[in-house]
Amino acid sequence: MLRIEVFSERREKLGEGPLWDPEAERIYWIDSYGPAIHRCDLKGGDAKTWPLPEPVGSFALRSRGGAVVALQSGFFLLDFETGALTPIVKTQAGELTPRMNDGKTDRQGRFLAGSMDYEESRPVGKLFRLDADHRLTQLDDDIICSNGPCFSPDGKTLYFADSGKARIYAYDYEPETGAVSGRRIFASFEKLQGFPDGATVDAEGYLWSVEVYAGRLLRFDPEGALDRVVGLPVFSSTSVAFGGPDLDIAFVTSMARPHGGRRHLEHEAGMTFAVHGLGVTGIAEPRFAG
Amino acid sequence: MRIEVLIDLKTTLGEGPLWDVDQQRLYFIDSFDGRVFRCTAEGGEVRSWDLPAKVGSIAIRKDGQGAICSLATGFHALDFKTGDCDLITDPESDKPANRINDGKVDRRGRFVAGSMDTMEEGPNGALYRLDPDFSLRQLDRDIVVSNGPCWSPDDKTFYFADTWSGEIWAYDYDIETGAVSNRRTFTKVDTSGGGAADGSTVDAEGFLWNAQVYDAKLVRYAPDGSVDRVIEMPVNKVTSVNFGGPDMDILFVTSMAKPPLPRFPGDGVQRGSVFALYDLGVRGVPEPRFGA
Repeated sequence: MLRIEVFSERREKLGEGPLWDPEAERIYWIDSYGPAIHRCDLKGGDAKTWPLPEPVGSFALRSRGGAVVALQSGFFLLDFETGALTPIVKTQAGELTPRMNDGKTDRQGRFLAGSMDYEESRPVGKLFRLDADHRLTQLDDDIICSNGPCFSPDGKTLYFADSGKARIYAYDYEPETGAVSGRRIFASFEKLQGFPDGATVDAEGYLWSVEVYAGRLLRFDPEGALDRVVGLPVFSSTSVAFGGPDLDIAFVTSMARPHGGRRHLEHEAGMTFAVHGLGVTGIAEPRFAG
Repeated sequence: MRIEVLIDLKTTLGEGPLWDVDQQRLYFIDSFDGRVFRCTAEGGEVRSWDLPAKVGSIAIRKDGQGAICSLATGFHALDFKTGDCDLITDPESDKPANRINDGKVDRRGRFVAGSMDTMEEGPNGALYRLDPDFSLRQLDRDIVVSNGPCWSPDDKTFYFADTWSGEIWAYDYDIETGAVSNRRTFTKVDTSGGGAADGSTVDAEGFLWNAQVYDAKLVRYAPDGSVDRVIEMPVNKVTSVNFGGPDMDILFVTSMAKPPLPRFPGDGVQRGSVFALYDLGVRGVPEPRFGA
């Protein structure tokens, strides 16, 4: 039966990007404004934190070890042993506000991540694809706040949210080339309370989106119809990933930083939660091939 | 902190969680189906009793052999052994559109329960006190939907909500006589999310916990009425709260599977579950039984 528990009592300023490593059986997540990457095992052991020099939007584990990290200014490689960062490519160099935000690998190991306006009001964000050879391609623009990129199980559909526009898009995705086309609105949040934040696709091909500023997990069927709603303990929930040895635990991050100038009324704001008993399993995320 | 589904029962209108310390059992009701349930702290050994009408609340009698039930047809006495449910008194036999709703026992064994307009529209309800000798007094009137009666740990304050007033009220309470006076606003409920005050309980620190139905929220209010803490729940239609368990530190929460009025949307697969919240760092106060 459903069980929602506090997994990590750390109160992250902006917890985001939970990611399960199926090989080492470790859960990772970030604090965008920590800024840092955190990791531990299912019991909270083997805990490690990598501090970062800039706000972090997302990361992916590399097949060669370490991680590819989307920091404010662009993509970097992080060496888990030394903590050293190596720049790969700057995004939107010379432009004032956008910072890199949410990202995820496609089923072939390319890393897709988008940027966002700091004020979350102007459509200055872009969606990028970083290939294994570290070449950067812009896939879309006119985005207020990039969030929740994720892929259908067959890798042929990319889902991607613009939180600022309160909608999730679907694109046709070319697994061979990483090209996108045919953007359409997959789900609009206009009639919902909150906004689409982080997302993942489960083994049945249904999309789980975290409705931030509403504290809910929403499950959509592949046609975009709302299938299920699970309320979360905090209003400021941010992102979700399935993990655990059976990929049946939904890890959910949240943020402690005040919203609209008001402190959060939940003592658990900013903590990371484990949701058991959903009766659904996830799909292991591929590692970045570059 | 941990939220679990204790029982996946899909109560049509789950209400009135009540932990009985002597029996170490949780009671709760399905108001619409007219049923009383009992289980262990772990949700085991479930048994139930059918009642002859819709039920608003129950109180365990002093000998533990039965309960006082506030039914749509008046206050009744339920015998746990036989299942018989006999009328005590019906203060609103002239108001067929009303039913008696939420109620709780004060620390002298009196049962205080209020009535409601079943359409939740007109101020036709009243607040009653049933004394151990079965005499009945009206304490307040002109109430649309009575909910969340409970007392401060020192018995000097009685809390009570008319759900659609957007407020929870406080009264001075005279524990010697059971009289209420000086009704005032304890707190204004944030109704911006569509929520309203439903069942309440007071914890050992004197803070009031209220289930805000239709808004998926449990709110803990300080004795001055300020919001101390909020817990968002898995379902929107949370209905009532009560502390229990061997250490009085589990918060049991009921919910409703089917909204009694069609204007409220559904809650998905967890609808109507009874939830248990652990590791809140707070304990409750044992509920007294009915009777002198």
